[in-house]
Amino acid sequence: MVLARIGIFATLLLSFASSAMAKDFPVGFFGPLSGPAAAYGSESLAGAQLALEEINAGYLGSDKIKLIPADDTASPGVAAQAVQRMIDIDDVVAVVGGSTSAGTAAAIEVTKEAKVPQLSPLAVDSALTLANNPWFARIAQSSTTWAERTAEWLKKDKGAKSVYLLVRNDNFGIPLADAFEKKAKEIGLELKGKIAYEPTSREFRPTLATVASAKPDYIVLWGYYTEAGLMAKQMAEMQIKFPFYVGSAIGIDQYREIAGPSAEGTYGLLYYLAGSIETDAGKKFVQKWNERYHRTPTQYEGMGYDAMYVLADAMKRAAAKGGISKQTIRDEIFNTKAFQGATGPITILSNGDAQRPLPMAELVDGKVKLDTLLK
Amino acid sequence: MLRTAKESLSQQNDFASATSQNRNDWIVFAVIVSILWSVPLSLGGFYLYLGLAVAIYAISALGLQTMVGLAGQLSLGHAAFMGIGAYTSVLLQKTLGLPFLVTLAAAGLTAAAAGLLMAQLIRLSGVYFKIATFGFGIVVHQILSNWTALTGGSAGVRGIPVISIIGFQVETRTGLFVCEALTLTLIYGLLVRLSHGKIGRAFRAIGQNEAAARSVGIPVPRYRMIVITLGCAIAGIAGAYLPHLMRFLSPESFTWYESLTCLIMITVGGLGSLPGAIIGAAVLIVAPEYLRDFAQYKMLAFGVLLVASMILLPKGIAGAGAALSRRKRIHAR
Amino acid sequence: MNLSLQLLSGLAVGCIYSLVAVGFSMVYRAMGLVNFAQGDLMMVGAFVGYSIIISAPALPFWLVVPFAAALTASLGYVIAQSALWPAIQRGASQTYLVLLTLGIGIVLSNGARLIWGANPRVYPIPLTHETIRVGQYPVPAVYPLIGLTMVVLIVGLHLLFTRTWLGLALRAAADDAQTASIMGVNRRFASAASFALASGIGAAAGVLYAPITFVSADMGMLGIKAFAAAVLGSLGSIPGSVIGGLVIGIGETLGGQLVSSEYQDSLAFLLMIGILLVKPTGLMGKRG
Repeated sequence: MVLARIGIFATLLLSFASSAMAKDFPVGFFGPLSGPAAAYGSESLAGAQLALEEINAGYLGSDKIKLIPADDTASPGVAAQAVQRMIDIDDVVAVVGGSTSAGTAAAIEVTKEAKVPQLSPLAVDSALTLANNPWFARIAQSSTTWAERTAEWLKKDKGAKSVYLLVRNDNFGIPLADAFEKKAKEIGLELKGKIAYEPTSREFRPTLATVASAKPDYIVLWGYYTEAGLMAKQMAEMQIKFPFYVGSAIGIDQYREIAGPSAEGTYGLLYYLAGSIETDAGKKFVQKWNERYHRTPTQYEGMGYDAMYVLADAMKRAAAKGGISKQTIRDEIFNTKAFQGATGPITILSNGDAQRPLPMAELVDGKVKLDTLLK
Repeated sequence: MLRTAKESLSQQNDFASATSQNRNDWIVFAVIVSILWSVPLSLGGFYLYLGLAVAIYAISALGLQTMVGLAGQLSLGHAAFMGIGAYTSVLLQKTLGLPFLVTLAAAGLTAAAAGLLMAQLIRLSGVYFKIATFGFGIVVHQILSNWTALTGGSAGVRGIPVISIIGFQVETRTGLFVCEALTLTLIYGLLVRLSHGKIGRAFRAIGQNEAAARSVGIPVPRYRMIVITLGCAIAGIAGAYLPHLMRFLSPESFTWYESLTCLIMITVGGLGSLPGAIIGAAVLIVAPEYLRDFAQYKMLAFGVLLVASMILLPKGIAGAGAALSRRKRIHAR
Repeated sequence: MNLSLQLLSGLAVGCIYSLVAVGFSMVYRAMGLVNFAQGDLMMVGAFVGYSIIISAPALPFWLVVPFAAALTASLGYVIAQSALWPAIQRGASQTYLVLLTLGIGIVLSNGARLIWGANPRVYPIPLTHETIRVGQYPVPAVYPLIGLTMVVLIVGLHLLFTRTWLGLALRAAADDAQTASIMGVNRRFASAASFALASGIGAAAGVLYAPITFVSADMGMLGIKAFAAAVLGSLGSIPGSVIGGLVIGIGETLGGQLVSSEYQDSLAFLLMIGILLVKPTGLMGKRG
């Protein structure tokens, strides 16, 4: 009874104190909002904005977050300059962003120098967290995790004996392929071959002919959805049929449009699949998104939403512990343990990487169907 | 008889206008350089950061202007030479621990060597050479992204070493800016000087009309070779600073779009004008910062700017300024 | 089996390069300028085709091609009249003209991105995913259409230039402007008409290429390779452009496999530079 009273008193005092010092905290967001990679940036921004609405309706008490978005056109130079500006002029307390690996790699050098915490929703390159940069964390798994889970799933769940790797020749594809190759060797999955292609390629027939003559059990692609779509389409045109793994492309409408009927039966590992998360947070998010936009959220929208919430949650805990600053936000982001996000429970590890469920899916009747949720 | 008199008269006029042009160029030089040194340093903060970016691209644009604007040798792969300079400098610093002044020189030399290689293609006449420079840019970008053992490939280079000059560590933005501004001032000054001399006149003659230049005895191929090598060397020097600004180096900073941006800089500033190259670089880097809400229109605006400046202001911003001041002077008389 | 299949797809892509290259050559001959916006006009044509298909789904595909070509040709006519002619009249330098067309290209590709969006568009017609059999090989159903259009267009151009008054006037204006103007051919009209014709051919190439892949605002980059094709076959020559396109198309498909797929983009240009060093005026050029 006494304790409860003290509790009420403390809450009152706390709410009084916080309302007296209600603040708008500027937070930066960057990602490609224009150009060919615009989907990654603008969809994660849309997710972040929905989260922001909820957060500013009292999640942080009377404190609010003011989001400052910037377009990095997926170019490292533009990303660095945009983030520098947020820090120098807008005096942001944190930066949410990095939707492509190249843009993120340039930006983390800026946030590290300025000691501003950065949380990326989508960047997967494993090199980003290798340096143990204390100011960078992400809620996307590293490319190593993606690749290793995929290799294990192919071997154990699908009984694959051999694979052929196709790799987009940039710092999205290469780290994924390297990690996959290593894991495959470890678990005894035979690699029939590996071909890296230029990101501008449109014509994969010569490549696919080589792949077909090697007769692998599975073709594994680490690339973007446009290439995935064209490969599936051209395989069908050449009447080559192999089980095809396309990574996160499977969740993108344009992949299915480009590939056409040949998209049917392809596999992919997604950042997030609406409906695969059975928790309250997971269900509530899909329902809210449906009410607002009359469709289910995409994987990037889900990731943007959760990135914003992981940050807000860290800020909330920082405030409870004494105050919000760049340093305390950083500490609390790294303290994130089993946060109940829309895309599943999220834990941030000490190197800045995330632990989170990954949905492996298959395209069945033109719809993305959950195969297994890899923990 | 009459004809020679006329000719000597026009030569005298040429000489008089050349000396006044000479003086004007140095006045403009003084104005630009003093703005360059005073504005970013006094504003500080993010403006200093923008100043760093402007200085790098201004150096690069000066090289391109000399090639394209002065001597009429269009290069569609300019960013590639910045890339060659950037990678040369950083890799020498990282692997051999060489001091920055040495690696800066090496960046210029390597880019010059690559430029000399590209200049061999001038055997391909006119139009053919232009598209070959584009091809050259693509090839260089692919080598930077694929020669992983040397360049680190598309993952880029991290851990850019701090610039150290004669034992002095350049750790602050101000320090870096001083280095860049010194380099820019020096190169700008040298180019102004050069443009008034025999070489500069030869460049301009080639730029205006190659056949006519040949007919008055200018060894055109040699001068073309010289100007291409020079322009590329300057791009290499500019490139050497880029990783220190971004603290990260990736082949994606040296794509065809970057080459195109450099071309827009010199065109908007005024084709053929050295100060125009610097103004163009400043406009293209600073303006988007103030139009952040219209980010998706940026490239469209650049394109419109390019077309409009070609149609309406063939001599660019610098040209318009010069015309205005000329008109004022006539009125004053 | 692989080799023949690849030859076929190399031929199909080569035809697309050829058509865009023909546009380069025509504009070069008529106006003396290298049109770096040619690839972007092809891209606009492909998007116009997309809009036609969306708004008139019943229209057969072979009719979409001329409609898109006509619309894009009128855009080309406007561009030539308003932006290019003043510069040509002033006797602007090559450098200036190249920069001007580069600028037009940027406006077109970024304008298209604003109009049709940043995501790639796929033609929602069965042809996009259909295959037919050529001999024993399955090939995309659009391949024969590409080959046919190419032949029709080249024959049509040949007849236009040799048999019609318009064609003769265009040729006269391109080869000897002064004489032509004495004969009453308006050079301004001749330039704009050639540019419009080249834009239309580019648009046809874009519409035919779309079912093989997809349409996106950065598709114009393909035009730069087509330029290498035009140069390789010697700029200004229509048969040269056709051969150049086919050489680059097939060279890329086969070379990409023989050498290394990482360097596929470089191949077209290395091929071009190599051939030009041996034969400076291109494959079909006169010795000079």
